[in-house]
Amino acid sequence: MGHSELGYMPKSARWRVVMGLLADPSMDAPAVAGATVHAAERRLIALRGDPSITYCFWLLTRLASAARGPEFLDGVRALGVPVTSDDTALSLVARVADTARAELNRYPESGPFGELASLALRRALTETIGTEGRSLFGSSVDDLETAFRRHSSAVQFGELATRFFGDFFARTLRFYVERELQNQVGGGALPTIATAGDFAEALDLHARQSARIVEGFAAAWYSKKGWERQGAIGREDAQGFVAHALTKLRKELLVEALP
Amino acid sequence: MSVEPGEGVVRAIVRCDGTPLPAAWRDLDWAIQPIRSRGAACDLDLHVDGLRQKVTGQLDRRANDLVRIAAYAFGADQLVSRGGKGDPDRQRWRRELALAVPVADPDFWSEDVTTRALVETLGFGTDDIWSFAFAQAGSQEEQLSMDLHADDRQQLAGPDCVALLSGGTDSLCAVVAAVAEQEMKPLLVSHRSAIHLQGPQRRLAEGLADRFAGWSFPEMSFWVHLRNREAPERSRRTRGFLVAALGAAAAGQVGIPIVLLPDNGYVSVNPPVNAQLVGALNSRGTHPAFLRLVNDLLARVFPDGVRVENPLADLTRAEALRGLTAHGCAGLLAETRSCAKSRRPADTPHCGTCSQCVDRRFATVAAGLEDHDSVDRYEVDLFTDTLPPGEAKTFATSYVGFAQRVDVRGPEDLFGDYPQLELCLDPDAPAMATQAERLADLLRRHSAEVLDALGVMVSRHGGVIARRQLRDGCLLQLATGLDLGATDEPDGKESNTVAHLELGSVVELPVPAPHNRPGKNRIERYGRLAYVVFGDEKALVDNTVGLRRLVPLLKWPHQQQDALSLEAGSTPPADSMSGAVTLAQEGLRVTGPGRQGPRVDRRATRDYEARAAELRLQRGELEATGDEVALARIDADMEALTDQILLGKGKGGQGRSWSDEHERARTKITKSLHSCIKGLAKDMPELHAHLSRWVHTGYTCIYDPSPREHWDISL
Repeated sequence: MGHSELGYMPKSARWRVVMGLLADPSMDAPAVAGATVHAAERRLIALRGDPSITYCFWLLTRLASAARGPEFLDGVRALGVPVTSDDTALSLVARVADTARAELNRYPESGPFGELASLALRRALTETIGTEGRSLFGSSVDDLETAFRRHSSAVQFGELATRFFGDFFARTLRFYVERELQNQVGGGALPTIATAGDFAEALDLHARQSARIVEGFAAAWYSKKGWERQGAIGREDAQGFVAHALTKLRKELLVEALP
Repeated sequence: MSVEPGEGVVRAIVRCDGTPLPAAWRDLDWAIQPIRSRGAACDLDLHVDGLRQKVTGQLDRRANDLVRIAAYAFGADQLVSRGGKGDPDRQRWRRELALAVPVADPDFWSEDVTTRALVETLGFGTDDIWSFAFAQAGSQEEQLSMDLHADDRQQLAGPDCVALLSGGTDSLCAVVAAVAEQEMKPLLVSHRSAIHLQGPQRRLAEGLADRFAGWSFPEMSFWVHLRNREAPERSRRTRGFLVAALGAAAAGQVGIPIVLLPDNGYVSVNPPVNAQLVGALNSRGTHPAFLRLVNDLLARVFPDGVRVENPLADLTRAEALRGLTAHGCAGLLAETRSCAKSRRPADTPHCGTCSQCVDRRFATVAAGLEDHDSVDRYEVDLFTDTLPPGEAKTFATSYVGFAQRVDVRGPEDLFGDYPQLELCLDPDAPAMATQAERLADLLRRHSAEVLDALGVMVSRHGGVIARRQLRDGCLLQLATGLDLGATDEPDGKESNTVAHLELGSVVELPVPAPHNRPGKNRIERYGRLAYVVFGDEKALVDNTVGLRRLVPLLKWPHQQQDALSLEAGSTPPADSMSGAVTLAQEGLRVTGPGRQGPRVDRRATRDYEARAAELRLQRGELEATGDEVALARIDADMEALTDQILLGKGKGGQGRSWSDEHERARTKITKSLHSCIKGLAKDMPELHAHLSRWVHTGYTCIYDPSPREHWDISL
C-alpha cells in the first residue's frame, strides 16, 4: 500500500509563469499566489457555486448559531452530527468531520476541493478552541461550546469566516504550487528542503492574511441573515456568501501580486 | 459561472458477466463497460492456487460473493481513467461507478445496510462514488474456482490466523512477529496480479518454513487481474479492499476469526507529505478508518466473526524491521520487494525513488539492516545519486521535509496543521486524546528515524562531502545544505579564470568579467521544458531541437563547431578546446573536429591571415629587443595559425569544398538555431538580441560574445 499519486503542472503559458516564479531567486510569495490564482482561474471561478464548500461553511455558521441556543448538543444533533454527552472537543470535531465527509460524498464534481473545504472546516474548529487558550486534546464539549459562543457574535463570526476561507485558499494554493515547488529545491532560490518548507509557510501565511478581506463583510452578513432567519441560516444563504467571499479573495490575491 | 451538478465527472456503468442492467440505469447517459470473468472474451482473471491444489470444496456463498464483488470493483477501477496526472485541478479524479454484479445471494447484498457498508468502504478507499445493482448469479458464477472445504482446517493442521503476504517488508515482519512472539500459525494468503510476483512470495514462504520448523506456512494465492487489455487507470485504489476481501474469504471458510493485513503505522496513515496529496491521492488501503469500515462490512458478511487487523499499526517500518533481527530472520529481507513499480529487473528490483522505496531505504538504514538490503539492488541511490526531476525528486524531498516539520511540532500542533490525521482516530473508541497522542508519537518517532538515517549517511559520506565531491542535487545535499555549490571557489565566488595554453603549459589567465548581472546565465531542464535565465530575463521555453543544438555553442563560446558535429549531437573533445580557447581569445575562429577532419571557413581564414601578418610585424620589432620569451610565444602562436590556415585550404590554396552531407547539416542547423533564437524574441528580448548578434551559423557555427558570457547548462 502507501502509494502516492503525484501530479505535475501543465505546460500552458499561465502555468509556465508560475513555474518561472518558483525558480526565481526572489521567491515572492504574493507573486506566486497571484500567478497561481490566475493560472487556476477557470476552476476557482467555478468553485463559487461549489456544494461542498457551501456545505462546510454552512455547517460552521450553524455550529456558531447552535452555541447561542439553550442546548448546544441538541443544536449540533439537529445538524446531523451524532454527538453524545460523553464526547470531548476532539471527538466532536471528528464527528463533525465524519458528517461532512458523508455529505461531501454526494458531490463528486467538487473533486479534491471538497476535501480541502472539509480540512478547512476542521482547522477552523480546532483553531477556535485554541483561541480560548485551551488544548485540543484536553478540552471538553463545554469548552468548545464556550469558544463557539464567543464566535457567535457578528464581529467574532467575521474572524471565524476569515479562518475558514484563509485556510481553504492556503490549501488550494499549496495544492497547485507543491506540484512544482519541490522540483526547485537545490536551485539558487531554494538551496535546501527546509527553505522550500519556509516558502510554503510564507504562501500559507499570505493566503490567511489576504482572507481578512472577507472579515467585515462576513460579520455584516452573519448579523443580517442571523436576524432574518432567527439563527437558522440556510444553505442558499451560505452559497451566496461563499460565492462572494471566494471572488473577493481571489481578486485580492491577484491585486496583491501586482508590483 | 458555477458548477453544474456533476459537471466534469467521469461516470460509467460496469456490466459484470452480462448481468442485466436495472431499468433506472438504462436511461442514464453513462459509458457502459463490460467485464467478463469467463469465456473466450474473458478480461478479468479470477482463480486461486490453493494449498498446492490439494484441497477441494466450495467457498461459502457470501464469501464467494464478497470476493467476486471485490474483483469486479478492482477490474472496474482500472478500466475507467481518472484523467491522468497532468490535470491540475484533478477534476476527473473522483468518478461515479455503477456496477451490475451477479451474486449468489442478491437479497442479502441488496439490503440497505449491507449496500451502504459496501459503498462507504469502497468510497473511502477510492474517493469514488459507487453504486451497485445485484442480480441472481448463474451456476457458473457460484463455482468460483477457489475451492476450499470447511474440513480443510484439519488438513491444514490448524492455522489460527490468516496473514496477507504481499512480499514486502511489512508482511514479512508481521508474519515473523506472529509466529515468534505469539506462537501463531498463519495461513499465508496473497494476491497475485502478475506472474513475476510469484517467485519472491514463494521464496519468502519457503524461507519462513526453514526458519520456523514447527509450522509449514501453507499458502493460498488469488489471481485477480485484467487480461487481454491495457488498463487505462493504474492508481488501483480498490486493491486494499480486494486484499482484505480475499483474506476474509479464506479466513471465513476455515473458521479463523483474525486476518492480519500488515502495513507499518506510518504508511497506513500515509501522511500528506505534499499538499497536493488530498484524499485518496494518498492510498488508504490500510488506513485505520478504512479498516474500521471494512470490519463493519465483514461483520455482516461473516456473522460468526471475521476481523481484519493491522498488527503493525503502532510501529514504524524500522521498528518492525528490528523484529526480523531479533528473531533471526534478517536474511529474508533480501527476498522482499517493496517497489511500487512492479516490473523491475531482477538485479535491481527497487527503483529507489517511489514512495515505498524511499520509506524502505530510510528504514533499513535506521534499523541497521543495510547488509541485507544492498544499495546495489536500488536503481537510484536515494542519498547520493542526483535525484531525477519530477516525481522522484518531489516525493523524496517532500518526505524529508515532512519529517523535518514533524520533528519540531508538538502533538497538538500536528493535528492543527494536518487535520486529516483526525480521520485515523475512532470517535466511538474510548480515550480519543490518548489515540491522538499515540499517533503523534508514531509520527515523531518516524521523523526521528528519517533524520537519524540522514545523519548516518552524512557521517558515512563525510570524506566525499569534505572534498566537495557530492553529486549535485542528491538528497544528502538537498536535505542538509552540505557541499552546496561544489564547483564554486571556497569563498563562494565563481572562478574568474580560464585554462590557457601557453608555451606548452597550462596557466590560469584572467578573463573579462561577465556583465554585472544579478544571476548567472543558465539553462536547466524542468520536465518537458527548459528554464532559461539571462541577466534579468527568465522564462520557461520549449526544450526544442534548436535549443539543444544551441547548447554546445553556449557551453564552448568562441569556438567554431561544424554543423555536422552539432547535428550529430557530439561535443568538442577537451584537448581541442584548450587550443581553441587560446586562439579564440586572440579573436580568431577555429573549428571543432568534424567527420572529415577540422575545417576553417573563408572568413576565419582571412582573420588568421590578418593576425599572422600582425604577428610577423610584432616579431620583427621584438627581434631588436632580444626578448626570447616573447619571441617564443609569438612563434608558437604563428605555428598554430599556420596549421589552421593550411587546414582550411585545399589544392592550389583554394578553400576546401563541402560535401552534400555538410550542406544538409548546415541547412538543418541554421534553420533550427534561427528558429530557436526567433522563438525567444517574445519572452526574452535581450537574449534574443544577444544571440542574434553573437551566434553565427554556416558550415561551422560559433557563439562569439564580447564581452565573454558564462553559461551554466544542465539540460
